[in-house]
Amino acid sequence: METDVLIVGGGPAGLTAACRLAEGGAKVVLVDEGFELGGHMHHQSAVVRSLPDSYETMTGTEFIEQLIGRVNALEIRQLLSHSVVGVYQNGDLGVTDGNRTFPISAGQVILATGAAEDAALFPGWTFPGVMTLGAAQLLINRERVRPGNTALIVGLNQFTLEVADLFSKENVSIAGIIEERDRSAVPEEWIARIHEERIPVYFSSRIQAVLGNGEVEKAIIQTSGGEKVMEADMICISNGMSPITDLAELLTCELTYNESLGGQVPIYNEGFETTVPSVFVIGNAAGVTCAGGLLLTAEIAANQVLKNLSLRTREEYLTRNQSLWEELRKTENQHSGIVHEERAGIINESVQENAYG
Amino acid sequence: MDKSVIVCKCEEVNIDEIETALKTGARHFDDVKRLTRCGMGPCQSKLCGGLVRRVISEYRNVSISEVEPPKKRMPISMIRLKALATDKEATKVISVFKESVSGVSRS
Amino acid sequence: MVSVQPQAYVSFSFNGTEMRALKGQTIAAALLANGIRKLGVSRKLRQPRGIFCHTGRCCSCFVTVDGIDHVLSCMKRIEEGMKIEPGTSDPVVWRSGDGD
Repeated sequence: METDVLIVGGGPAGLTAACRLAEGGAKVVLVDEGFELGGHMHHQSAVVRSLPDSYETMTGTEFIEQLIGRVNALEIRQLLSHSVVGVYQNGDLGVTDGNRTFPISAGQVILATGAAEDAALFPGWTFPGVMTLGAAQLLINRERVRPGNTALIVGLNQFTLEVADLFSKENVSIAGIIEERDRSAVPEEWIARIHEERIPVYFSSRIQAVLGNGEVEKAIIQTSGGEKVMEADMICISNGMSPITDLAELLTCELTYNESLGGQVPIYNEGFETTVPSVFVIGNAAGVTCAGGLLLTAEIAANQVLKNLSLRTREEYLTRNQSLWEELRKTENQHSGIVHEERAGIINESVQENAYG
Repeated sequence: MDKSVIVCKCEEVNIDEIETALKTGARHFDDVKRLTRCGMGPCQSKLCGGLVRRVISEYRNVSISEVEPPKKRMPISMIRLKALATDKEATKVISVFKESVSGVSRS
Repeated sequence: MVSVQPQAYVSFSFNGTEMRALKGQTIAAALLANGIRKLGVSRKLRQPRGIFCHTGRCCSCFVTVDGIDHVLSCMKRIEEGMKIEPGTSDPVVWRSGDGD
């Protein structure tokens, strides 16, 4: 299969890039492992914060449905339930549908592989009933199944607050939130919101053991006030996200470690092109960020790819690149200034390397 | 934490086994991997990558950024050998199984 | 939005027991809806395993579907008449005469 652009990952970033590129006249193939488009955001029943000003207020689900509508109306080749398994020596990507494997030859490759939830280590974390908080959210919103009756949540952060709301709507009770950090290290705003919901939070605490007959029934937690046995049939881990970089690594893109961006991230330039020419990285795969931020990274890369394909003049490219970066700076600063600063740092790094390498 | 806690869920390697590997001279994820099979199961360290690096960084008392992540190898997602091997025309299995991809050219 | 259809059902079996699930659900979710949380056991210590990430990455939710082992139950939709068995082991690959 041959194409101008191959996009790996059909979440918000991949879909946004696909639309822009197809609208701009590029031939686009979009690959996603799942049986439907939309990625994690597809199952977010909460209102998406940080969408750029041009969008109205909507939930993740509404936003993604709109985007999928746009993709479906364009001539974009969609390969759902397809995974990239490797790279051929000539640089083609090896893609499988589970029955056969075939090469896709693409002039430009965009990695929009997203981020994965981090696991957390505690005795019993491998038991059935222990799952990521995102898995619990997806089971409720997409699969229409209650993942349990009573949950213990490990980790207090923005995502915990969002899913706690969902749990209370779905009558999943929350026995408590176990937070490793000291109370002073957690923003007061989060604590206030949790108190409003009357959910107990245990600071400076951790899970010491998970008990049950082959699945979660109870947990022993170690708190500053001693041990406590808690009844729960589900333990949800909310421990942040890390960019998915497997394919970038296989393509020999250089990576750097950056805690604020979620860990290992590919190094990229102002067009989100990695250290491997014509391979781009966008969305959460380019550093975990807010919803608005990940859409803008997709816009910036699409602009650059259209220029590479001679579908956009240099002048158009430059003007657009500048205004998109301005918008990205604004959006990410509202959400988290640190994320944007660190992102700018990565770009400086790559510029230096290009200059001296 | 109890040293018998499993870190790599696929190959069932616990903290004690990782620390034993570190005691014998392992420094990075790939060293531990060669000694214990840690990260070599079906998920290919997608799940335990961060956990193992944390155990290593705590044991060695260095920042996690100083612990090299495991080298990714093909195939990067689960695939049945039949799907990899049946289509002779399209699947040059040899390139998929090449130890190194340093020869990949995307120019 | 959701591909799961609230009124349409499919029948399948787990370990020989007949069950019913909503059309469009993943195999993992269909089993969970029937109270099955333990989907299989680990390969070495034979400890119970179930849904962990539900995104096809962690490989904790393996089941056998119509005789095919190691199917990621979170990435495949349930279909009418599927015979599901727990993910209990690696396939036996030795032949008689090969020795231990």
